Amino acid sequence: MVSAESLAELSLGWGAGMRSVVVLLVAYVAARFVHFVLTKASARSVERRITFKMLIPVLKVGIYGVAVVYILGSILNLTSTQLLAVSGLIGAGLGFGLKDLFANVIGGLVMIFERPYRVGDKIQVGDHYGEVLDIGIRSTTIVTPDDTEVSIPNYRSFTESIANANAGSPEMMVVVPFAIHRDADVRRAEEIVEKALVTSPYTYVAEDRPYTVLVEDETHHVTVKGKAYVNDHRNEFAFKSDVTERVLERFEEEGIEKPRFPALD
Amino acid sequence: MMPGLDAGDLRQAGFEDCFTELEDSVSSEEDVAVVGPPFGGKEALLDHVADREGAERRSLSSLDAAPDLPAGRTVVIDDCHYLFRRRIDGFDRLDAFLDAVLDADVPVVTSWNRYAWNYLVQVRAVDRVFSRQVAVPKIGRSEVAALVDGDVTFVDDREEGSSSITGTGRAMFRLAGRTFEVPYPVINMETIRTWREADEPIEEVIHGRVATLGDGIPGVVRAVWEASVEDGRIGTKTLYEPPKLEISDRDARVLQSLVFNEWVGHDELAGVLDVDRLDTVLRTLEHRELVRWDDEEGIGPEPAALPAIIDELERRRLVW
Repeated sequence: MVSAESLAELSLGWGAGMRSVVVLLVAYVAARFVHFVLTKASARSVERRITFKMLIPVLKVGIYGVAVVYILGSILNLTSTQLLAVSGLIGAGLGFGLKDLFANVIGGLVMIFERPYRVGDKIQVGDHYGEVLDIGIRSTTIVTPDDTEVSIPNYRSFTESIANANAGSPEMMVVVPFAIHRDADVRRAEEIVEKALVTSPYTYVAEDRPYTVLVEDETHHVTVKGKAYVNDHRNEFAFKSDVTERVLERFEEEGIEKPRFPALD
Repeated sequence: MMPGLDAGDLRQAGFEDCFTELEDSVSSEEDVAVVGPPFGGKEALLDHVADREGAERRSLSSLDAAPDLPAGRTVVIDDCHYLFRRRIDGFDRLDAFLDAVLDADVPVVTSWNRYAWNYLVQVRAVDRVFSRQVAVPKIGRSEVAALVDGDVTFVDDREEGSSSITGTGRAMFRLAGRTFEVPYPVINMETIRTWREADEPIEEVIHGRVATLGDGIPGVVRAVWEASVEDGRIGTKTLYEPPKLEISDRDARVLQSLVFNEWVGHDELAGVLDVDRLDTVLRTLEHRELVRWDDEEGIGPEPAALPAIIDELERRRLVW
């Protein structure tokens, strides 16, 4: 039970208030500085970029956490009873309408420690696909291929599926599909697509990063699907464009026809 | 092209084990791939094998067809990375050559650019065709003296006394729309190195630094040495400074192609690279001393700058 006497004893003078504000400001500047340093460090290496970037939200939570603990313990000097009383007030606030905010904060902490994705990963959440720029306390910010920043509330990690294209690695698999006429030379089309994949300047090939070409029979056409890893997921669309352009050019040269769809009555 | 290394140079540079391995492979009638970086001495190694075995010797260029493999005696073929082009129809000559090697009844000794080889292992499984692969070794400071022109004066220009091990760097930091200069501590690596080398003779210090700057690649070490000698004198302050590579994606693609090919004609490069304004890019890279362009010989990476170029391309994962 909340003790009215314990709350009354809680003296929030101007001095304590100012010191709390100063501590929060220092925490803010420190968090920004950490963000700056790690972002600079991440730019120096494709391989280590994601490692550096995923430290950012962890360190920011740590900095703000230390600030809050310091404020509560050393500045406000809360006793255990007062802490219980304040917790009760917070609980009441949650019940009355802060529950979404709280869910986002918990979601943010879960994200940082469970890591369904990291800063630098490419993810799909609902209709939004893009690179994770920041995992904040309340929301995750991604940047889409159209350079739009989207804030996704963290609670959605509890309610929706999240697809992660690269899971902490700089390289990711890219699929480049081509539709050809059913009567076209499928084997030759496969060969062209395979060679276009491996000769792209953006391709990354290794024992654990293989490439392949799949053929799928559809109702009115055949799909030849090339799958390979791109050296840096930021080159995803440059890679796709490069492969598509060269394959279509070669298909035209060699008479590999596009499908013709029957006219609808 | 820069003056090449010969077998005598490489023996003095500590390549004896490499020569022995190569000779043993040929004696065992194995097909051999000698794999090394640009300017690493592959040509000299193959020259030695050809002379020793009385073998037929071929050096491929980017325009050559797949070479025939005559029966009856060992065949030595240099620069086999020219057999492929990184484009859709670019593997035909290479595939024909690999089939010919498998069918041949004589040892075939080949050389390959390391980065092209690593790529071809993944996309063409070339390592399965050659039963023996010989990697060109790196050299250390003790071998540099044997490789370079020793007719120079060594200047001991190392700083006396102790400098501070820590220093201050400065970074620009934006906050609330304003820019602040923020100092941060840095470790002075030059001071640490000077302390470590304080008791060593200046000749050894300079040889060690040249070996490091050249990344142990014999031809690059020699180029770094030549770039570091001023008026017949060499000291720690005259040592070649590698360029800081701040290059665009387009520059990186051109350099990637040159690292793979080592030395290639302009028309051949234009046929492989789909890069806008290629000549402008090449002239800019030449001006920055990253590329050499000779109208007759072709285009290739600047030897002394090769380690910096490789580091940048590895960082971008364009070579591995």
